[in-house]
Amino acid sequence: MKEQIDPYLSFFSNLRRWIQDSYLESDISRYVAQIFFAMILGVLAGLGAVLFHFLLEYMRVLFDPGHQGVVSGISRDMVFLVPVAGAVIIGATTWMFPSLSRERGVVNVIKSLIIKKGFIPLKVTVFHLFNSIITIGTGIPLGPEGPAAKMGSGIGSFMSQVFRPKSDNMKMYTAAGAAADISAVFNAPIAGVFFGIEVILLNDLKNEALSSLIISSVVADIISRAVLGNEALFKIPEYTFEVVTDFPYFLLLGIGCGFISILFFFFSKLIKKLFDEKLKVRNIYARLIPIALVFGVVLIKYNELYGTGYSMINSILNYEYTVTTICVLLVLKIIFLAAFLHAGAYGGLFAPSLGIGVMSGFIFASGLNYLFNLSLDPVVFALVAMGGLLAGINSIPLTSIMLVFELTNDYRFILPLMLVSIMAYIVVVYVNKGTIYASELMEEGIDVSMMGEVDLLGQVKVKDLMKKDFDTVSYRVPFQDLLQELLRSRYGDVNVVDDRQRLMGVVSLKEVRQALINNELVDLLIAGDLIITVPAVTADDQVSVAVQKIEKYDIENIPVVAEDGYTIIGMLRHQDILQAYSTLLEAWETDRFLSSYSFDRKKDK
Amino acid sequence: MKNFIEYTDIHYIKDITSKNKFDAIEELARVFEGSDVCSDVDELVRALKEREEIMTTGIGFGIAVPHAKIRAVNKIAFAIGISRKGIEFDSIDGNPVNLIILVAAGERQHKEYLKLLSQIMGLLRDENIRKQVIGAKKPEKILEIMNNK
Repeated sequence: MKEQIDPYLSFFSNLRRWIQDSYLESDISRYVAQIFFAMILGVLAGLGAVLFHFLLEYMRVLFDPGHQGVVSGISRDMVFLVPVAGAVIIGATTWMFPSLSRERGVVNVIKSLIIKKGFIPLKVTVFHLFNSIITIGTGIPLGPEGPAAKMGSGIGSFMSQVFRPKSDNMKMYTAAGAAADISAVFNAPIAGVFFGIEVILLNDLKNEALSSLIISSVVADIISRAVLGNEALFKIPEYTFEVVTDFPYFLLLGIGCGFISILFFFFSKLIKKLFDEKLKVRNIYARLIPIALVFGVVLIKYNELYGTGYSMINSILNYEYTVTTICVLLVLKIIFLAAFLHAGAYGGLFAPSLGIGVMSGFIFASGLNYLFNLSLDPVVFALVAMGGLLAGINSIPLTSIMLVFELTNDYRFILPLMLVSIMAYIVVVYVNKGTIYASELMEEGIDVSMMGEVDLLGQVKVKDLMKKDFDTVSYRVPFQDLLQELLRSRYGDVNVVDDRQRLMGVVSLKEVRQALINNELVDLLIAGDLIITVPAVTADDQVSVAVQKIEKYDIENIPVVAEDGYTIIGMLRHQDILQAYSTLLEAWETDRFLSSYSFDRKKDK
Repeated sequence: MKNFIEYTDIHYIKDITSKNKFDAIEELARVFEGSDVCSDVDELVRALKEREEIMTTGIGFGIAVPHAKIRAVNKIAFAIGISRKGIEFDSIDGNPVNLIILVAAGERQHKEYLKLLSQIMGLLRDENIRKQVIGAKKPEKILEIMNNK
């Protein structure tokens, strides 16, 4: 594949080449360089997150009807115009840049890692950052983490386009950038790292750099905390619970969170079907503006739904709403979230999931208390349900546990949080037959189910290892002559060819052992009787393909044929494969904490 | 591996009437028609004849062991053909063939194929057995002789 480089990079290419030539060739230099780059990435991602925070906060101060400073000249009753204005702006940008608008959401970051080695053009990053600020800033109830991850991965990708020490490192920096910005946006460095591993890398850490993920996440969060302070996002009142006696209710809550996640997916599909199949609305304005208008009207009464919804979460945790109000908010939140996502707004699912989780948990505990005269603490159930819905809707149990834990700075409810998160995740994965990201990628023809396997030999071509000297005999050769050929052969077996020199199969010493036991067979057999038909490999096949065939046919060596599929051009020996594997494994063990391994690099040494 | 007698059947034993070796091979191979041994008997006949053209399978002592290993064979098996008059087979010792053991194997049944050929050759090494088989009046008797060995 032709290497893709952002067109804006002409200035940086010489600088990059100079740094690469001067400093980045030895192993220790690569370690140091990657740590250094991860720190720079952390700084940039942290600054990006701070900028993102200030812009969102500024817009919230300007427009949030629940805030004191509604923009001058617009009365609170006219607040419905704010999301409509947002819809008009993002509709315009989407209409002007349709190709950029399609690179939507976290799933496209994952896709860029899988099929483009982490390449994300700078214009994609800028486009989505701008539109996310407009979306969330004008009150549309989506989350900042999708845009943040996109911004971070875009910064990481851009950095690796500029300073590529090795081409495969782009994947690493793209993932590390996403992790860093999640870390900075939520003040949650551990969750940032887990997000990078669980979401962006789809749990395939083997070829990637844990060190870069951690370093960039830590540095980004330090920057964020230095500028924005250490204050926890949510203010949690005092609560009490008993892990043992409340256990069955938490179990039930976990399953419930799974089903609410399923309910969200159901609404989501329903609205998608409504837009695409029933109404057949393609125009972005026609999709967005009616929803924004309805949402704006709803905001007049329920201004808690404005934007990320963090203030609503705090209000619920501090008993500021009745259960009835929370029920209404929950339904509205789910409907508008699904509607805006499919209408074309820009934003993520994490913050809305937290909101839905808090509401669900609070309603769950309050409902059980009312129905069965229990004394469950709604705050605890609201907190753990945050993790449950986050895990259920986004299929990220580990990130959910760590994110809720870090957002609340409270260790006491970690056990129910873990239980509820994993139960919700199991329910969703069972019902949906996979995670949301895997499903979305599968819809685009990308199967991520095999990503966890290490295919070291898949990185080597047959032509890199094959021997070009080999032995052939005609299938007509009598056994006695064949035996002589075998004893003289280089590799212990010979290739048997037909009258047109086309490969028929191989005969090995191992296979003729049986014939040698009985003397009478010597006069009965010819080479053609003893061949084992093996599907040969071509020079451009991966060695892993050859290994599968060698195992399947229980042979030592495998013939290599030309593109015609018959003309033999070499032999691939088992022992050469083992030797190469040993070399690759050694290098991989060294490099897996740094970056992807390249066979070419090792060969070059 | 099974007892080698389990690779044949009373229906795969035949008195051969053909006069030359290629016709005899075809006549004997046709015993597999309609059985689950081979899905394409024409292909088997073609492979057996092609193999016979390369080098005779007449190993002397009045015996021939035509054989083929092809994809169309589902189940390794052998057939037994008796020719009272004898068939010219270009045998190593120049004698006509009275006993034909025809072996058909699948492409992937390599080890079993060699083992079966080896067992058959081991059995026929015994002159007494050869005479008893050729002289047997009924297929059941042939199986009994081979089984008792």
